[in-house]
Amino acid sequence: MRDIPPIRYFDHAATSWPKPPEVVDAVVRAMTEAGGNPGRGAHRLALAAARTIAASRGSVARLLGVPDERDLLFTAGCTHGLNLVLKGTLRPGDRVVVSAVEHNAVVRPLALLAETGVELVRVSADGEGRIEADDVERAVAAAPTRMVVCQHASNVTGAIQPLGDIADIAHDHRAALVVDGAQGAGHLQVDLPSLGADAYAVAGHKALLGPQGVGALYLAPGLEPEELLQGGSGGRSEGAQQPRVRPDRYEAGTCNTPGIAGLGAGAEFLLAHGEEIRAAERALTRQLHEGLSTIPGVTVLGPPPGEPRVPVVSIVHERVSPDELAFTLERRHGIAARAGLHCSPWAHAAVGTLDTGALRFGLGWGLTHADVELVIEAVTEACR
Amino acid sequence: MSDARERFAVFGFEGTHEALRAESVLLDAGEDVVLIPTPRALGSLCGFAVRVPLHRRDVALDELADAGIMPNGLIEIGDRA
Repeated sequence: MRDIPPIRYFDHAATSWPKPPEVVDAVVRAMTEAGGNPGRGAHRLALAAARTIAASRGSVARLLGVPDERDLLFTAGCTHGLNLVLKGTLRPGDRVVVSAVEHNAVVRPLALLAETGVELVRVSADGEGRIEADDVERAVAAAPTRMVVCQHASNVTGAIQPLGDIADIAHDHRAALVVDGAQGAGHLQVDLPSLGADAYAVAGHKALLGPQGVGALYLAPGLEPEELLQGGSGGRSEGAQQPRVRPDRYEAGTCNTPGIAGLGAGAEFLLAHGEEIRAAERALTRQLHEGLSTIPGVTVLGPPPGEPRVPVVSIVHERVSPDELAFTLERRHGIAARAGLHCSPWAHAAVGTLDTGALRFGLGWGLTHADVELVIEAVTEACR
Repeated sequence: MSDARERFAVFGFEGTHEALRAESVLLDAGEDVVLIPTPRALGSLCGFAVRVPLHRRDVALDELADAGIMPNGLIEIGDRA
């Protein structure tokens, strides 16, 4: 029988693992000590659940710099948040400027909206997956534009987009800026008021270190998308209309209290340790990027070493396919990484890897320099 | 044991978030606060309401106003516990 090597987890861009013990404890507490239905009664278990959600909302709001917690909505994930703001806002005839490196969480809802008459204008990226603010300016200035949609950072190249400049451009032209923050929040320090996003969607389970199945959406005051779901909110029960007050309007149905509790604990963990985690991620990413760059036949996608990126390093080899490489690394060394298109065909097309895909290493909390060294040695060996 | 004649002011809110914020503000101010199921007389606001002793009603309203919180409903009730 084959010895199974211990896992070296390099798939943080898909979902973070392991989770801090505080996150696991919070999930368990939500299912035991706070196991009632939040906002649906005043007995102690229901109140404990409601307080758990309120506390988590406060923690995530503090982490992201949201001034009014009511503008931070809990969702089922980043994809849910993006669908909410895109489908709830855009109507036939609206014009949308969107970066050409978006994830399918943006691409697919926009494709559906385009079938209803929403006009999509794509802004191309450079060969390293970066969007130029000047290109956004030209696209937005060409015609009245309802919305600009752009990721914070790429899940393929790690490129960080110039959101501050893009926000200024959007607002100068009376357009809203909607941001896919799946690879941003947590890996990057985020202060939403200074970033200028009108909507910013995050996944709870990636760099925020929470459980899967939960996320958050920031909606700036004044942006009022139609809600995707209508249903029970715990109040105004006699009325057939969904309450208009935030966050209730956008949180119909019983919330994912255990998930939200875990997300809140993840946010608290980052509030306490975020600076050191981000510094470690930058150092590990630099080490991996530089090490992989020296291997013959390997091309590292995205910005060159020394330029800012989130802890995502994707590679292609001139001979060994990404899937073969992923399988070899896992079987021989326990290295968990992800081959393929990463739900981002637009980004792969932008950097020339749509036909081959790439092997992506997503770094995050819990990894060490020794783990990175092992990856470099293992890729070197597999590509001989 | 409760004084059967004691009466309370009950503040109702549009949403759970406001009700919990109100509770927090009033607790920080040292008020004797209890969250109770929203009495029907308040209409159907959120699922729970904030109860304070009646003689603290106006003070509590001022404390809430200072925190930017405005109840959506207010009634008086007797001690039901």
